[in-house]
Amino acid sequence: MHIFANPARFVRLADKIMPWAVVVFIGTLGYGLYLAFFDSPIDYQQGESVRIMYVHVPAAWMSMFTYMVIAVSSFVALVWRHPLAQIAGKAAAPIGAAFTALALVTGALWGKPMWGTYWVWDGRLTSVLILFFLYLGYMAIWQAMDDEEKAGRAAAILALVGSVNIPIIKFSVDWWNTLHQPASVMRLDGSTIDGSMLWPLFMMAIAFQAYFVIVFFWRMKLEIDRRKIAVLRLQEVSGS
Amino acid sequence: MNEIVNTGDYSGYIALSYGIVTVVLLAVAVFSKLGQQKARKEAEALKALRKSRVEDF
Repeated sequence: MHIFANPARFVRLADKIMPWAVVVFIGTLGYGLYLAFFDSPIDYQQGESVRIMYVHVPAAWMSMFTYMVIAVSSFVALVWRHPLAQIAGKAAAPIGAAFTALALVTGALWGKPMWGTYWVWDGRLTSVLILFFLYLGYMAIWQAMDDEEKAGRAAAILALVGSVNIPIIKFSVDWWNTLHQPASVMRLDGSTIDGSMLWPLFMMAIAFQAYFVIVFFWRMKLEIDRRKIAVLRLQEVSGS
Repeated sequence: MNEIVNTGDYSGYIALSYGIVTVVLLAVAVFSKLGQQKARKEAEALKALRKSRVEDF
């Protein structure tokens, strides 16, 4: 893992992976949208609104996955001080915040016709809203401090403390009597969703994952260049 | 096989959901890519400036 801590090596690796991620993204998004709109049957209870699930569920999965990326990066940054670990967390945060906002908004747009309300303060919805605020807090810390080392450390601590929210989100539907339905895909005894609806869900989930990889690499490279610029400017000023 | 009990029209909610997802993901991608290109150009310009000064010296 240490060999990838070198920014130049990381950029070379990212440049190799990027074209493949773009191909996977376009392929799975196209096929996923076709399945979601033209192949997936309507649900006997949800009716046509089941099609919202094909963007809501992958967005919700990605909101938690991205937070785990930030939490692991933060741990690595705090313990081993890898130069790329801090950058990885900072680069992933806006993407995760966007996924979380989308999960909340699409969930509300599904909830209104199905539950009769856009929002309820139940365990799942509230814990996802807290996740969104954690993302905002993490990004705010990076913006609030001039010293990047200090900002990185403070943001990493917040990310690690906030990671306790991830199992709460996952198990909230089991621990509390919530309006949100219990887990139906990631279950120990297998999925309760029919294959005709599982396939579009997985295709869209892979498309969202590929999107994350593409944008994450762009943002990583942006941050690496930004730090390079800061060093070059410092050298200009000091005349070295 | 379950009988369809819900035949409601939810096209507005569906269109809004997919529309918002498209706009937000596109905006994040475009801002990230443009930011990356701008930073890359600036870093290269600063490197070139530094190189030319070293050569002049």
